[in-house]
Amino acid sequence: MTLKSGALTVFVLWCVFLPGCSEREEPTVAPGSTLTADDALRKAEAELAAAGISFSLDEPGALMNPEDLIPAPVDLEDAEKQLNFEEAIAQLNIALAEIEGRDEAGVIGSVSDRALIHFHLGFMYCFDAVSRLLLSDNPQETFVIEHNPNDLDNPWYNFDISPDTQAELNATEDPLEYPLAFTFEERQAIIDAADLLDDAALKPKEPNIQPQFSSVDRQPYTGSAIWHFQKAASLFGQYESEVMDALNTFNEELEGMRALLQAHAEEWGFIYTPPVR
Amino acid sequence: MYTQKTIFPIASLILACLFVLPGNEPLASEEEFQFKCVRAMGMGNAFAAIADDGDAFYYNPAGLATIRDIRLDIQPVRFIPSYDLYDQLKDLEQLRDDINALDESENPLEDPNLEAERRRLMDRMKRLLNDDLGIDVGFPVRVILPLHIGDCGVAIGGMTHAWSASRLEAQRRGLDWSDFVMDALDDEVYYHAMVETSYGVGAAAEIPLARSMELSFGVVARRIHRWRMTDADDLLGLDDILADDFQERYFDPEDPWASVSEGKGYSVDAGTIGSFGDAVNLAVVVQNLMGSVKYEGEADEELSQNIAVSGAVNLAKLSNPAVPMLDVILAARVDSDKETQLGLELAWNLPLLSLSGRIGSNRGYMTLGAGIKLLFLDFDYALYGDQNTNWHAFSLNLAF
Repeated sequence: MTLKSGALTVFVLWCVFLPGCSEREEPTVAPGSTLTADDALRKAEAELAAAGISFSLDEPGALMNPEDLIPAPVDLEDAEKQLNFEEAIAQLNIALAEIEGRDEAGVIGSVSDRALIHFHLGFMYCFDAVSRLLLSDNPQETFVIEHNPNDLDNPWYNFDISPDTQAELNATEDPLEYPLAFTFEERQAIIDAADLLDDAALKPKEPNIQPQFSSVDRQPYTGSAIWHFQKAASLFGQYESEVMDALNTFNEELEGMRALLQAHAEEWGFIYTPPVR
Repeated sequence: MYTQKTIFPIASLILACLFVLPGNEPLASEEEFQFKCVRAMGMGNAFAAIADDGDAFYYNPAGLATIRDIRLDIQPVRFIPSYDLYDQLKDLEQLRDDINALDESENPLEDPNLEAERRRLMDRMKRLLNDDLGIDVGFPVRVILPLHIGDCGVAIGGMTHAWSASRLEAQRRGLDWSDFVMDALDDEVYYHAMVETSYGVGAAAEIPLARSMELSFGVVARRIHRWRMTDADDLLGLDDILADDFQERYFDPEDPWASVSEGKGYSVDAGTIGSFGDAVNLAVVVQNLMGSVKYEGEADEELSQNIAVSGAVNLAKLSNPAVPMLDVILAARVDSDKETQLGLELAWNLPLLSLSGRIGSNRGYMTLGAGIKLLFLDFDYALYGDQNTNWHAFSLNLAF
């Protein structure tokens, strides 16, 4: 073969083969999601990571160690983290709205994705409530929140008031004036926590105490921790009734926290109005 | 001998064919479950205009007429795993050790001494979700009986094969969670396992049209007996595993063979090759000119017809004088799905030994190949890419 033919061969090969090599590309967005939903989820996960929260299940046994999933109260007492939670909640709600939309085939999102977002939102609302309570009482300590992730007989967070605050309440002659033992910010935190956990409305029993309204009765806050966990249980229950039973047991844990908050709020001179379910 | 001046119109014809054929949406499963030969795979499967061995039964029956001697091809080794399966099989020993270690522990999920084992197991799970596991094994036997008188010739032949092709792949669904367990909860699994036995006959004839110009045409008819199990119409997800009607829709985990569909059918391929001297071949082949497989209690599987135009040029034979002992074959094939396959084979032919190297583009995916032919032993390897994944392909053919 002449040099010319060899050069021609190389040229033909170069033209034919090099541009012809395709890459196998995964679709940017998988069926059952949207670009907006994926983007919102990514941002939510980044906010959670910034707040030091990880729900990673990729270590077998992660669910056997819930203390790894549920942060200690001291880790939640941070204004920046509280902002992270609020932004994560906003992004998770965007993702949820997207995948709860419908296309020709029905609801866009899968049962597990919707359940997982509700599950995350439930946790976020709990952490946000704890964070608000702990941030409200600076510099003095009013609220004492204990961490019991492994104690099956108690909720993850057991909360009460400090001995000093209790002494102040005891010194108050008229129980109707108990709410005045708390600062404006502390009362606001109690009201917000009740709304976040249970969608409950709180107001002082004493009508002369200036009423305050929930600051989380707005976007992006919709529903409550209990509502989101119940939605998650109901969705996972579509897979298997036993899964729903297991999650309802899990929800009883949260019910303990809610009942504790209601009991304390009523002790502290508030009227606790639970949502109509 | 044709000169470069005469080649250009032929090359133009091939190029024109690339643009005039009608297009259909390709079905992913059709190429996937098509019997392929390792030599052809190395050169992008652009083999219809070459088809100068027993593989003519699969690529172009007209090629049977170009075989000059009685030929028996037995291929005891034909093993084609996907890259991913090959990788998974490589460290199977480690997997077995990890599972045994976890199995022996009283607290496999939390034992701190088994953290490395748990991590490796989860990493393997992650890999599996991204892997495309496929395997294609077969045992073909072909015999060709040619009779040539002058420039005219006929050939008849028979083929049979036992063949199995299977693929398993997770399909991504839903939100893109960073945690792979959450991400995998709504993923779906596609599986397709198929076993086939087939036998058939082929006939081809070659007639001279002009000086150094021959036309071959041939046909092959096959009887097909196929067993398959697939969820292609209803992919398997976690919710399906937990569903009450799992066994009706998929298979009985305790007796999966009871869920295998058995079908019988036939297919007919026809093709033609125009040869211009020793250097240029142009071919048209119709795969599944007729064909279907009927399954009991299920819809018939119509074998999709595919028309392809193909060309091959042996550059070593184009030069004047031709280069002895060397073949440089450039081949192209375009089909009715407007999918293009391109290939090049360089072969150095000694009296008892032949060495070859191949490169190709299969619908845009790179292929490479190599072959050693020693007496009657013919070993081929190909690294083959298709729209799903990459494959290693090995075959040992005994050609008498």
